[in-house]
Amino acid sequence: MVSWENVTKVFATDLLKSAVVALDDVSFSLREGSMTGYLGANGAGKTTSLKIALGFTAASKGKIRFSPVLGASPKEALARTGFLPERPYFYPHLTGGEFSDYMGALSGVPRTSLTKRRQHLAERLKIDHALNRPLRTYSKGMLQRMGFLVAVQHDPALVILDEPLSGLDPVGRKEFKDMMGEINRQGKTVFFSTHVVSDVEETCDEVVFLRQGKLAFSGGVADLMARHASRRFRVVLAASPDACWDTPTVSSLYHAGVWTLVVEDAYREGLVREAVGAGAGLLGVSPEGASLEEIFYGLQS
Amino acid sequence: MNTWHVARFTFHEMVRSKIMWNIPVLGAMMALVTYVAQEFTYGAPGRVATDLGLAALTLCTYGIAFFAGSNMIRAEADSRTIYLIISRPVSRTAFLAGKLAGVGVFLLLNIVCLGGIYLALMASLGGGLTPEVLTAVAFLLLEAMLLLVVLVLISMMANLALTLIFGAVLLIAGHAVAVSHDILWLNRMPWLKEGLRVYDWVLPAFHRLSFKNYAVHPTHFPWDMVLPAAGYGVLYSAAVFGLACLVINRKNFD
Repeated sequence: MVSWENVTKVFATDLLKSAVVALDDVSFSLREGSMTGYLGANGAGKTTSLKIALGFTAASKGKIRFSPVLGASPKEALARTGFLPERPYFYPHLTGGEFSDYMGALSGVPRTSLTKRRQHLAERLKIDHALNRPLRTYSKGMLQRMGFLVAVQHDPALVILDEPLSGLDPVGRKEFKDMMGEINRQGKTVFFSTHVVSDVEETCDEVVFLRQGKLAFSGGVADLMARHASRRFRVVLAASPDACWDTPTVSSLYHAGVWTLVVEDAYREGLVREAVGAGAGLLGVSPEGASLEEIFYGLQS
Repeated sequence: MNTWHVARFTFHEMVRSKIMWNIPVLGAMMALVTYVAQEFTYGAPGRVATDLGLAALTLCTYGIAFFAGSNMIRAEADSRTIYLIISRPVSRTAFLAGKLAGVGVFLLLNIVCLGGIYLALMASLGGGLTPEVLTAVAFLLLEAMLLLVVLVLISMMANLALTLIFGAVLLIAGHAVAVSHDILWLNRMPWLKEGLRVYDWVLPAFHRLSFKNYAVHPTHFPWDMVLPAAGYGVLYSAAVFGLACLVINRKNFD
C-alpha cells in the first residue's frame, strides 16, 4: 500500500553541532488491508517517518512509494488517506460539526454523504452530543475522538494514526481499538504508532519496529513471535499435589488440582507419556513463547 | 475551491475569537477621545474626528495584521492542524491563499465596523463621508494586506520575536523613507540617499499606500497618485505572496 524505500532523514541542529540522524536507511512497506502497529521508543523516528510519508517534511535520502490502488498521483493518494496527528489541538472556536465540515470539504466529500457518515461515526465514538459545541470545550479524550472522526469520515483506504491511544482512559482505549479493528475489517489498511506493545499484540497482524532510527523488524506479528519462540513447552496436567515426575522440567507449579510444567522440547513426549501412565489427566500442551513485549524489549536492547 | 474552504473557516474562527472585542473597545475609545478632543478644537472638530478616527482604524488594522500575520502559519504548525489540512488533497499554495483571504476579509469587516462607528461620530459632528476618507480607508486595507503578507513571509523563516521586530522595522522604515529627503544631513551623503532610493523600490514602501494625511487635508488630495499606488500595492503584495508560496512549498514542517 505504501513503501518507505531507503528513507534517511538528517536534521541539522546547529552550525557548531553535528547533524542528528533521525532515520537511517529505513525500508518497509504496508500490506494492503493489514493492521500494522508501529513500535519504537521516544525519538526512534516513528513520527518523522510518518511526516515524510505524508509530505510534511522531505526525506534527506530515499523515497515513499504509494500503491496505484491509492491513486495515480500523490494528490489522489492523499485523498484516499486519513491521518490523525499526535496530540492534536484543533481550532478552538469552531464547533465539532463545523470542523468535520471543514475537513470533509477539503477531502472533497459531498455534504449529504458526509453528514450521514459523521453522524454514524460520532455515535460510535460517543461524541454525537457534542458536535454543536465549540472544540475548546472538548476534553482531551473527546478531541482525540474528534481527530479520529475526521481522519476516517471520508472513507479512506489507508488510515495513518500517530499515537491514537495516548491520553485515553481504559474504556476509551478499548473503544478506539474496536473502531480500528472495525475499519480494518472493512478492508482498510490501518497503520498506527504506539508505545504500548500489548496494544499491537492485541490488535495487529503486522508490526514495524524502529530502534534509534533504524529498522529492527518489519513483518507479521505471528512470524516475529515464532522467530523468538523458545524450544520449551507448557504441559498442563490434572494430578494430585504429591505427584512427582522423573522427566526433567524447567519449572513446575501446582494450583487447585492443576500442575503446570515447563519442559524442553526433547522431554515433552516423555513427560506426557509418564503423566498419562501415572493416571494424570492431560489438560493441554502448548509452546512456551515470549510475549511481544519481551521480544520488543529484547530488540530494544 | 479548497482556497475558498480554508478562507471560510479561517474567517469563522477569527470572527469568534477575542480579537473581535477590539471593535467595541476601540469604538468606545474613539468616541471618547474624539468628543474630548473636539471640545478643545476651535472651528475644526470634523478634522480632529477624521484624524483620530483614521489613527484608531490604522492602529487597530496594524494590530490585527501583526497578530494574524506573525501567527498564521506558526499557530497551525504548533497545534498540528496544518497536518490535518496538508495531509488532504490541498496544495500548500491553496492553503496559504485561503488563510490570507480569510484574514483579509476579517480585516475588511474590522475596517467596516470601526469605519461605521467613525462615520457615526463624524455625522454627530456635522461631517460626512468624503471620497478622500473612503480612499484613505481603502488604501489602509491594501496596506494591511501588504503588511500581512510580508509578516507571513518573515514568520516562515524566523521565530515570533524576530518576525515582530522585522515587521515593525519594515513598517516604520517603509513610511519613514518618504520623508528621508527632508533630512538635511542625508542630502549631504549622496550614496546614502541613493541607498534609500533603492530601498524605496525594493523593500515595501508602505508610504505609497498611505493617504491618511491627505484625507485630513482634502484640498491637497493627490488623485493622480491613487491608481499607481493601487497598482504598486497589488503588484507588490502579489510578488510577496509568490515568494511566500515558494517558501511554504519548500518548508519542512518537522
